[in-house]
Amino acid sequence: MYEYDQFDRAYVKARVATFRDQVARRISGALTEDEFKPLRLQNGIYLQLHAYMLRVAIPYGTLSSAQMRQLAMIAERWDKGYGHFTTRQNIQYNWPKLADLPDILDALADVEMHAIQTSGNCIRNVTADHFAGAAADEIEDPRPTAELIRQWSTDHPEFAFLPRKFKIAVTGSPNDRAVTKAHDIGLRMVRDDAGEPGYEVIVGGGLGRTPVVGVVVRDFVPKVQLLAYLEAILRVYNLHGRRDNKYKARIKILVKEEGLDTFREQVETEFASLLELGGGPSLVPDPAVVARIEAAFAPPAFEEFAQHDADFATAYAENAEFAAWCDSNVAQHRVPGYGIVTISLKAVGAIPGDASADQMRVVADLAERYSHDELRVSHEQNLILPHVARRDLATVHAALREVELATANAGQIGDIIACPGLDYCALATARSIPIAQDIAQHFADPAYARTIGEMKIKISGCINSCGHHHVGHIGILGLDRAGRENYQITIGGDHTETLKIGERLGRGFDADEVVPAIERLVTTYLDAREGPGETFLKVVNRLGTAPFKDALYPTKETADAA
Amino acid sequence: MPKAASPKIASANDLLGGQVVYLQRNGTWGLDRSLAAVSDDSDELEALIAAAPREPQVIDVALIDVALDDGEAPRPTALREIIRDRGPTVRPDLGRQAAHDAQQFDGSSYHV
Repeated sequence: MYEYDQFDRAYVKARVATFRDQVARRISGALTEDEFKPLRLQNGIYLQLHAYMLRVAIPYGTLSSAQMRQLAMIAERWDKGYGHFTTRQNIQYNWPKLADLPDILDALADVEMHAIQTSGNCIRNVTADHFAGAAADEIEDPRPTAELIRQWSTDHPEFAFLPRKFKIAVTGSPNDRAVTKAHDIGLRMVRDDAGEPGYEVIVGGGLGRTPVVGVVVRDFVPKVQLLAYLEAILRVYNLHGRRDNKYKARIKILVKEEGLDTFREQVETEFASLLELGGGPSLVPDPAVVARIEAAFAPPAFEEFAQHDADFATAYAENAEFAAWCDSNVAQHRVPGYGIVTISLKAVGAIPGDASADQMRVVADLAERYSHDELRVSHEQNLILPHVARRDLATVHAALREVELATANAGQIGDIIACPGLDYCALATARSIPIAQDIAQHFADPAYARTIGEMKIKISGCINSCGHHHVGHIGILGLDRAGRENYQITIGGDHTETLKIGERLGRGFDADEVVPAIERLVTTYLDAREGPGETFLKVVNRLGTAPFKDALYPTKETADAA
Repeated sequence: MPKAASPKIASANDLLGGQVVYLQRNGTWGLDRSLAAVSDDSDELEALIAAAPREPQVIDVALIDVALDDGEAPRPTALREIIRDRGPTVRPDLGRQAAHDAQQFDGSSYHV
């Protein structure tokens, strides 16, 4: 785990002290709301429907047990006993009081956390593969890169007021679990022909009202030149990105309007100029700093186990519930004898991404005892125990079961991403959470869910797409249609390295029509597939959307024939 | 023929707690919706807002449409405002609804 140095500690504490003074001046009336609003937003504080909301960064989704316990404490002491984990590896508190926020930020600083740059037109929290440092398919751990970018981008004076927010994601695996093609910049760790490590740089991806698949702007940037290349991209964007229209201000629009070749040429010119100048210390990081960061992410001291563990095998054979959980929620670890545990925050009836303070504490305890004190937050709104010995899996499962966190549905139809929607969010046009709950309830039978197999349903409550609906195998977008909630359905979206935007099938549905519509899509898929190995997405790719469209919007002829 | 103006009330968020408050008939901001000043004249409500005392401090002031039932408090008509008023539909134990009979605020009543 990365630990703050003296500079980091002093910096974050100083920011809290400054904000404490700003809050006091707002409460006294010395600052107007117009003056205060940009200051609170710089500290991740929004005003939502019911109260303020605090968005806390979890850089590259990595947490220690102590940090998780502090998040639980904050939830209990200053909020309403729970927190909401988001698709950008943040946690949000929905009910803090303004006067308490400096104390909350101080409590975060005590465990080396903050809410800086979780809002505003700046470089946001850098995200990464939630299996980083553990995945069997990993080329290299992406977190040292993400931490380097965090340090470079935090309070970067040149990029504090970009045309719009800017999101960077890093993956160290060819199987992309960080949705890199839907970010302003996506970085894929690769090796060149000589075996040297570096990055493929993807630019201009994004969801929102104009979904765009990111494109490769450069096949290979050597590690030592990464920050210079990022700086070149950001400079071009900062100079040429549109500021006249917020809906056309993201880099994806710039890349499209300029054309990739022109954009690339501008970046390369800027990059060459930076290299010629030598970059300076902010762009050519001190090798000692890089070494310190890399050492912080060194693999923990794994024990040597045989792949076969007799106790695990017995539990697996005798406990069907445990076996099902292992099959769906435990991924292959790079080290024999270990597994990566996905803790589903999607129990039937639960609010996707919500965890109570008690649940957070149990997870923290399990991480401390069984996962080398490490936790991750996934963009799919689940928690991860990255390094659990197979011999301990049954114990971990039993403990999770006690706090309703042992739902065996990772990657299945009940594992639904849902933004907070109109229940909490000031921007939303429809609710997301109840739709997710209705679908999860309808498909609650684990056997049926297993029969359906891999299925990614993603729901957003407005066009801003926080629920990633564009890249859901089934995507659901909630809108307001003449005062009624209405839900548009897309299919065929893909959030992986083969990222694809889903296709809208037709008119939207009322809230109570959504579950029957999903059921018709599922039935159509099960009838059409050529075997259990052919997933919903594969069938859509093979057959196109026509049979699914017919299922949702039968013509008179097809209805009569049915 | 121009559409008749809907009755409206003024809502805002209290600076300290963030919770929703309404401009009351006595010209102050308060939590009680039943005491909210109702008018179909936006200028009249804007004038009341301008004249309201500065304490408590409020933010995000907006006029919202309401329905008027005989003898009842003015009732927000848009789902967004209903949720702001009561609390999240998915957590009847939270928000203003938690202080009332949560049963009357079950999720089904939110389908508008």
